[in-house]
Amino acid sequence: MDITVDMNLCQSFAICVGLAPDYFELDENGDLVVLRKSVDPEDEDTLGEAALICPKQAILLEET
Amino acid sequence: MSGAGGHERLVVVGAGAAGSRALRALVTQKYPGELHLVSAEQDGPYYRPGLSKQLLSGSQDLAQLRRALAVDPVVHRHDSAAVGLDLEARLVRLEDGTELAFDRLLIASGSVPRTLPGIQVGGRIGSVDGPAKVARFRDWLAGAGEGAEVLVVGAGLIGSEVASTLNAAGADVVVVDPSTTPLARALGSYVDTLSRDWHAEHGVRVELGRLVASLSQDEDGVEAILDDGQVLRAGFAVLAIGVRPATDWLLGSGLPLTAAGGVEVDETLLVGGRPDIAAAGDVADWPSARLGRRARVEHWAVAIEQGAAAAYNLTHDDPQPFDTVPMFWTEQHGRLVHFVGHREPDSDWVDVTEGELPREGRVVAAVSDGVETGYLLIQAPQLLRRYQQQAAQWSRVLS
Repeated sequence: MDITVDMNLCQSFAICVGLAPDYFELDENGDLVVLRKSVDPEDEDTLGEAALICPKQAILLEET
Repeated sequence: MSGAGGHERLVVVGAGAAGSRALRALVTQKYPGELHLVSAEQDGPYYRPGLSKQLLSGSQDLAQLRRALAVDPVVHRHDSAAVGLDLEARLVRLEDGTELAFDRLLIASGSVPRTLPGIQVGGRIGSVDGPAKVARFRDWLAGAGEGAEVLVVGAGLIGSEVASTLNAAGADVVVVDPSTTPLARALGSYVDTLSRDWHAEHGVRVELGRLVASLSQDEDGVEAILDDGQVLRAGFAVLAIGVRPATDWLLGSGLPLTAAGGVEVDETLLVGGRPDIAAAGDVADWPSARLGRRARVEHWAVAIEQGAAAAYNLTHDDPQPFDTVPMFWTEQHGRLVHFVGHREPDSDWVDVTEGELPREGRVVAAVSDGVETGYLLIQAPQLLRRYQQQAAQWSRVLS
């Protein structure tokens, strides 16, 4: 499973950073950075939660 | 996962945050039985908080709001409303006549909008509680053009977001609410004051402490008469007067419901004496150990957490108590607001901002009996994780 964040939609609410800090962080300007594109199988459920919770529905998960 | 045989059936009623999260967890865990989803939502599951924000503003369409809630093909779908529950026969009755037997049941039927007695929705009186209703309102708005006059009835969370979204779209907005502190219940008294300042700054007219005594429409628009005799005219009226638990289908079933209509569950979100039935999301009224009292929360993020917990507890022999450091967010007049933790109606609000934050960010603590119980972050998402951890340290039991 791969992560893509639509940066046109993302407003840096940072909910995903709290849920999955190994995958997302905010840089010093407050912009979202995706740390890892490829999702470990044991993290798929958590990343699914991040996509579901995202206020801008900007997190896209694609099966690889 | 124990006790879950290959021939048993787990039924989820409701395709919102809690139901969707539960099904995702069950699919990921390879639940060995059949999974069924009951939902009358004609448009399929979608990100409901987007109704008053991206869908209303037009910044995202329904297809985009559906992506994260796609239902896995292994789930059997029933596109009909649940209308009854038989606890003894263990079956859910659907509007289309189906009697759906279950071995385990998750009640996640969410909320329904409140209505105003004597006011018929239709024509130029609408609401934003479904994609079709938002689309109908947007059609009118597009025809009315810049400066379209809109009356928003209700200044709670949804009413305030609707007012903010429409204001940004160039509409001329008036909001009416019978409460003088309409956002205090949902978001706390600090945000309530702040939101009023933001509305004023952006030219949204707010009439608080005023009841709509009558609301009528003619071919030119709508006319509201307030309880002080004021007459407000607008092109369209949007009702946003709150929600109540969608549990009418459970009335008379024998399932314990609270006076407010919530489903009374134990600390594991299971119904007492019925380990085969759980509730999650807006409907779940559970005893929160952190809070030291029963609680029912109507926020997307909490519904998601409860959906995952209820899915686990329904399918395992070692159900875990559910508790949460609640988090919610709102976006009004371009400001991001997060709240994590707890607050009381009489909480003091103390600015605890350290140094100068970008975008005029602020952190305000909710203080109860001298203890910080929650944190409000205004334009400060970069601090969310830190204050989530800080808020998690508090509990009623410890303080």
